[in-house]
Amino acid sequence: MRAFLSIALCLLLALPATAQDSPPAQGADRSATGGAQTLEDILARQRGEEVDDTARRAAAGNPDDAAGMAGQLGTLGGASDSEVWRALRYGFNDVTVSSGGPEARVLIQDAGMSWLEFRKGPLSTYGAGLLGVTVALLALFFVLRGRIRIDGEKTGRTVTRFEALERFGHWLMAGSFVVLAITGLVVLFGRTVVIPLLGHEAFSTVAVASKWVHNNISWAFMLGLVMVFFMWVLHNIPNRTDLKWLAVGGGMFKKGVHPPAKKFNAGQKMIFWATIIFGASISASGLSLLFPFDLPMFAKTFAVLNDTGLPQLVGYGALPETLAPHEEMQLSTLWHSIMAFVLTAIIIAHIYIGSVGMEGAFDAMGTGEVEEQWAREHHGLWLEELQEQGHAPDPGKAGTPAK
Amino acid sequence: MKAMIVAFVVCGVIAAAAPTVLYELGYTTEAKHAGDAVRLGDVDR
Repeated sequence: MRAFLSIALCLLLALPATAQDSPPAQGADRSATGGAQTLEDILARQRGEEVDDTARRAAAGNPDDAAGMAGQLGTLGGASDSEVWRALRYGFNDVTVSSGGPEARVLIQDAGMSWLEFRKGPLSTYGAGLLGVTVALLALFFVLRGRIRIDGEKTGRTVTRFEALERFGHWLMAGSFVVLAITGLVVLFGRTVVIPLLGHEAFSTVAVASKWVHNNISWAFMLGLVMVFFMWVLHNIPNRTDLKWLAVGGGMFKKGVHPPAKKFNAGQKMIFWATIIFGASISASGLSLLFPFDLPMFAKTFAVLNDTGLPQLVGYGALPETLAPHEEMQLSTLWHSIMAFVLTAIIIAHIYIGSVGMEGAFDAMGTGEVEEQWAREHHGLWLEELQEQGHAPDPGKAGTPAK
Repeated sequence: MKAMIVAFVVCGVIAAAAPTVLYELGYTTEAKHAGDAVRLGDVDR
């Protein structure tokens, strides 16, 4: 499982990186131009193909080549305007600024176009597709399976499923996540969806508000994530019972099937770990974006991944270990969005099964009290534990105190 | 339902308080790093 997660992480990390740093094609004949770019190079670039720009990178001028000051061209220096701009583009120029960090010395950063194209194209398309397919599959599931009812006769007795602090932590994270997801989608799809609907002026207000809310409510999400992790991690360690639960699909697809489960079944454990892992990753990349240029993490992550050999193993080659400050931010936005899309899809399914999808499920997080028969059908082992500890009424034992 | 409502209110309180807390801690990200630092030229880096 760990190896699978590592490979998946590596592939996802490499996706935006390769979008920005594809190796150029080698071996083109540039003898006619003395090594400079040819018409074919220009046309290839316009077609979106990668070209070998080694010669252009090298043609950045040299101040030492300047003619003497007393000479005819002495005041022109050793680099032409083209060479100066080329050096700026490839980051070779020694730019001096009066304030600001390394990011202020980057005047041209053309990888930003690759970032923009990826953001407008695959990220938006596949992200929206993922959410759409998730909703469609849940709708199909609802049509075929209907609401999962409590099969047995209700007892009228309840057991405490979650204490107030547990519910508080859950809703702190859940409430903020829903707001984060909506405001994040507004920012990502503003140009393509919101502006055509509301117009530029209205979208301006909505976008500013969304950004403010997104940035500041993120702290509630991170706090809730930490609370949930520490409250439930021990209950979510996988065990053999989970295999039995998974073997029958958790009883989700067939009426009357109720595999044994403790406080959390295998499906809930998957939701838990997905939330923790994706939530932590979203939080880390979000912090990097909240404090621009102060918390770069991709070059370091790529270096660690390269040391494992995984990127090379799956054919990506070594990932770039030197990134411009702006590239770090660009990769953070892409990674933040990819992780957020995946977690949003998972949470949509979680919201479905916790509300309309299953009778009695919402009570667990609503009042904290669930029908005893619901607990018996979905968390039978947990109910038995409660009864043995005297925290739930046990019809089989006369005089058992109920909590 | 009380825990849920309290959590939602706390979400709003945290969001409202975050800019002030960050400012007090010296982490006014947008002002310090993205805009004013470059314009004013008065921030040590």
